[in-house]
Amino acid sequence: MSNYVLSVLSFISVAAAPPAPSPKLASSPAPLSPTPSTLTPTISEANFCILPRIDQLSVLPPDLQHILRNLPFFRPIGDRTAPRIAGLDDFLADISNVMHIRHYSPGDVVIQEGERARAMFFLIKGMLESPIQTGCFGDVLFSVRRTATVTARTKCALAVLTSEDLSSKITRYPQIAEILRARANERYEQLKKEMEKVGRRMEPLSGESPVAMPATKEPSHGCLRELSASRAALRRKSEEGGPVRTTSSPELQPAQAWASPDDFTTSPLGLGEDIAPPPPSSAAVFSGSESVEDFFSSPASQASSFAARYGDRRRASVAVWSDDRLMQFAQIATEKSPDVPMPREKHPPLKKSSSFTRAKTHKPHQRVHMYSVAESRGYGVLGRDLMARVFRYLDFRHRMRVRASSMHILRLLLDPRTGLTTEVDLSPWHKRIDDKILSDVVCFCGQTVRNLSLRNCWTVTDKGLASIAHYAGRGLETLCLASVWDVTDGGIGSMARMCQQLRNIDLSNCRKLSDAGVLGVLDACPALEIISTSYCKILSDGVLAHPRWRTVRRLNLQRCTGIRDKGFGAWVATTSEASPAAAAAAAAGVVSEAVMTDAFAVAASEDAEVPTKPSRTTDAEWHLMDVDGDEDGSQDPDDFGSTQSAGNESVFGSPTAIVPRAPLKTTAPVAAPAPPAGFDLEELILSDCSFLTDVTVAAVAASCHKLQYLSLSFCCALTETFADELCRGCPQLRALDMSFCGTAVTDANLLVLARGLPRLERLSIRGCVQVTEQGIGYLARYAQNLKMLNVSQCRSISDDAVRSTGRGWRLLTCQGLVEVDEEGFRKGAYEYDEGGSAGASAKVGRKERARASTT
Amino acid sequence: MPVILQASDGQQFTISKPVAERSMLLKNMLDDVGENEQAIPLPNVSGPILAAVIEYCEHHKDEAMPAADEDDKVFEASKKKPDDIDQWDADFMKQGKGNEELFEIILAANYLDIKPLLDLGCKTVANMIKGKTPEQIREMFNIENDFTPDEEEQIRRENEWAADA
Amino acid sequence: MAAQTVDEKLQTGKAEKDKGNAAFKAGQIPEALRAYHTATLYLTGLDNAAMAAFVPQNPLAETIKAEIKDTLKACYSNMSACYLKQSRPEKCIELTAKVLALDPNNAKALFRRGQANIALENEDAAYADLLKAAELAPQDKGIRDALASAHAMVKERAAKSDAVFKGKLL
Repeated sequence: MSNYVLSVLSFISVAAAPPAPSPKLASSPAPLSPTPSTLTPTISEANFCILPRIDQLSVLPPDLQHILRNLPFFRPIGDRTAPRIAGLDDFLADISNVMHIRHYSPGDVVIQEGERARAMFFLIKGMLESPIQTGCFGDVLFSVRRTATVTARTKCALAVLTSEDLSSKITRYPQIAEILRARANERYEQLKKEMEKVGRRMEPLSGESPVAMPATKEPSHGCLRELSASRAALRRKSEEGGPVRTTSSPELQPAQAWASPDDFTTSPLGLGEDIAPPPPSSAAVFSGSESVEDFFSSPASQASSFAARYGDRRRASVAVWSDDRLMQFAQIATEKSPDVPMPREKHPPLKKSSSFTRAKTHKPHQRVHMYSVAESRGYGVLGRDLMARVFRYLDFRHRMRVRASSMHILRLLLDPRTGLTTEVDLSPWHKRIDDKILSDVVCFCGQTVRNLSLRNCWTVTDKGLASIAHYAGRGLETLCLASVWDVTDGGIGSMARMCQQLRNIDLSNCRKLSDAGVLGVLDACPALEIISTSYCKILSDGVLAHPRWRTVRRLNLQRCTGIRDKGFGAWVATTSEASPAAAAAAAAGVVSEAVMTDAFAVAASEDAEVPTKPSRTTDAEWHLMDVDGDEDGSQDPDDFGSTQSAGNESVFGSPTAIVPRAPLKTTAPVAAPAPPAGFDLEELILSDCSFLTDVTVAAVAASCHKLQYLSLSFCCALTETFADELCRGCPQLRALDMSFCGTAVTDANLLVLARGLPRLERLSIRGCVQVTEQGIGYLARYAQNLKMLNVSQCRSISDDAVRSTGRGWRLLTCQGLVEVDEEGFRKGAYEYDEGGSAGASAKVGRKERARASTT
Repeated sequence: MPVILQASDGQQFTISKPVAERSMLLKNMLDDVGENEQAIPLPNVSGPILAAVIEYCEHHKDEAMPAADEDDKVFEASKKKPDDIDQWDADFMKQGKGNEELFEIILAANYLDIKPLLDLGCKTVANMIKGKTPEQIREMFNIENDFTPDEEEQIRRENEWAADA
Repeated sequence: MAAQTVDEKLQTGKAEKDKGNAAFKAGQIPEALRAYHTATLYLTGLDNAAMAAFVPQNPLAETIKAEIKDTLKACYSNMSACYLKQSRPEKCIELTAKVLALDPNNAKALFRRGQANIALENEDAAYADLLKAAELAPQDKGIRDALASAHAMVKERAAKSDAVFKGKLL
């Protein structure tokens, strides 16, 4: 293979590392008025033009212009004395203003064979070489592929002009455009001949109408994600070497079910107007004048053509071709033997190792050349994977900032394997986030988002929800809208319909939310497991009448004061077909002695029935035994005395008191697989729902047998009678919060709870003033699994009494105001895998402290 | 028995086995191969960088090794806090080390599979990224700017909310 | 000694791999492992963009990259064989995972991992791997035999658990 040394002019639009001010975006001269439709600019070739070497590295635009002006490229072929073309100076000034300078070291690849040509290259200093044999480097024109690889032989400086820049600039210079097009065609023909001579085939021109042209459908928001996707497709295609075709990915389809389509026209990249597809002219770069004019006329269509350019995979590309002098050169060369050195330069034939050696000897010190890698592929020196690793340490805001570094980095952020856009937490910047910004963010991140938090982003409205639904709906699993209080039922409902994967939604403090909204969410999201509607005071009983509640695992209804006992009646109704007593009790909504007795009777008869259910055997037996053992307990030489309150005895009435009732199978806790009765609910927060009574507890106990955490703090209407129901219905309970339920929590009740909830690990009886050391004693004795106990503000208990239980309890607090780790209390019960939202428990903690301070 | 490492430029370093085993790559090799007088060639790490890496390993040699299959899971990443770098580590990363050295240490840590050092390096770099403009970031990492002016403008506009307050 | 070029490192890597192969055939497993380890020391980290910055990117890098990958694959694969021979199935599994990361449809690696899992009595995992291996290389008798024994193990375990729970009311 013989080698050719070329001095080449080329363009690359990259900023170089060296400190010399690289000319980038200097201001262009005022645009000329766009010319009408005869315009068919066709600049699509990069040219290798022979140019004498320039020793000084002058890269400022005026010098560049000078260089360019002297290019044979810009002179008619064979006629170097012809007068300058009209407008050439301006044109050169224009393009030299947008050219970038790039530096290469020996051995660096400038142009890769097989790549789609996208830029013109102008060599300013140095020497390039290429291994192919034919004299013509003619990858020519019209988005064809480079037919040869060109590497830097020495250190080189090249000026680069991208095809886009060129296309846009050339529109103002129709004459020059014509000339260049003619030139290009000539070269192409020549090149074709040459190539055919050596048996290589040129890509046909016509099949590849290189249209920097609009796809027929545009994304409603020409966002960077699609941009990057199209870039990726383009690159991939060039690497595969196949023709580039337009594909319309689903993301590019405009939203069909769009709530308010006018919302996005105000964005700079507006709704794409359908731009007519280009006439099938192989010579055309721009299909018609409309788009060109559009590009300059209105911002909206400028944007759409901008989007269009990147929506379509095919682009005008620029190729490499040779000057006639070079061809002559080549011809001479082919006639000689391959090893004869070229007239200009002596150089050894290109060998793998020698090029490396040469490169190596060029480097005085290896490390310096970390920064001279030409094609670091836009990821930088650390490379793709390490950069991804670095980015994991950045919060979302910084990740958004860093995407401005390069397209590669941008795409790296979007790669689902890196997971860098999986968690999007905008709450730290809630003051700045509005619908528009939210829309940009979700448009960018698209379906990679799994967990999205907009906590406290109160300026977000239904519009923002619509964009979430549209762009990120498919992937979204966790969504926190806490305190996004302007959202309405409609907005949430329609969003939910697009978010089929939604598992966890936090609607705390969405004050406008009513039953319809919540029911809409329940309707739309089959996977929903965790939901919080705390402080949504408009919600009423009706919201609980939905079959989906059976499968919800965690529910937070703190301060949903619109919901009363009646609402929970619906749960019982769903659970059991039988048990008229329990249903009656729940539905009554009135606490009465009779009802209570009934309930107890029911409970008692349950006990009697229990032996037939193996899962309840131990509990039932335990109950029965304990009734006998009560007396023993009273004789026990405990510190706690032996007095039992009357209420206690009534609870432990005779074990044989069976009240004939309809079989209550379904209300008994069933560990059998897949109970048709029984909710999946594991965690329920009813704090601050001060209107709820024991009836609710009964209803919950009747339906939620898997309950593990229950918060009834500040449910002041509860009385002691809740405890039995709870113990019967929710034996799995591990954490219970009865803070400030003064009436309900007594020493006797603590005994009930201690015995009735064998799995209880955490208990808060903060502010329950009736509790005395006796109650603590019961806990110490019977609550075998209890690990965490909060007895702060229980006036009747002293630190010593607690300590002396010898149980080594954690989080033991007495007297005064305490900081309670509510979240720890709640979460301690079992593992959480929540994404964004911390739930309302944090709020509970704060409110508790606030309240406590007033007592 | 000491372990001898040879860097790409021929420099040799003798270290103890526990120090060498901070590198999972070396640990695996030593486990398989047993003890040997032969120097282990490390052709992808230069002398000065290897010296720095060894310095790190010496300092941390008494610490517990991270779990074998510790997170490369992306979800864990959300829990990483870039601020909790201890003083010695912070100084180690800074002293006389320009960006080049920093990157090379990261690459060496990646190559030698020394996770704590790799994490430390990445955290340090992440902290350096904060507050930098895109141009500065490109400068730092030698990243090619392949955006068109329009694209850059679009990103800039979209990022306004993310600007430093 | 001046640092080597990418190409030189590749050559060294291949030489070490060959050394390892020779040692393996001679039954000297630790020697083989040492050679393979050394090979990987030369070959890993080379495709990193900046590691390669020591030597500039080169159009030939694509073919070099492929060669590096292949040689690494061979090393890992052979190392897994070594570990099997040394009755260290966990290490074998580690290394076959590396091979499969480079080449997910590598029947040999699946086969070896299957064998390792059999040794560890992870019948289900073994069965899955060996089934896939058999699909990829239906002619291979070794794979078929291993698959059969994994299958047998799975069946046996099922039968055993039947026996334990038979007659008991669960």
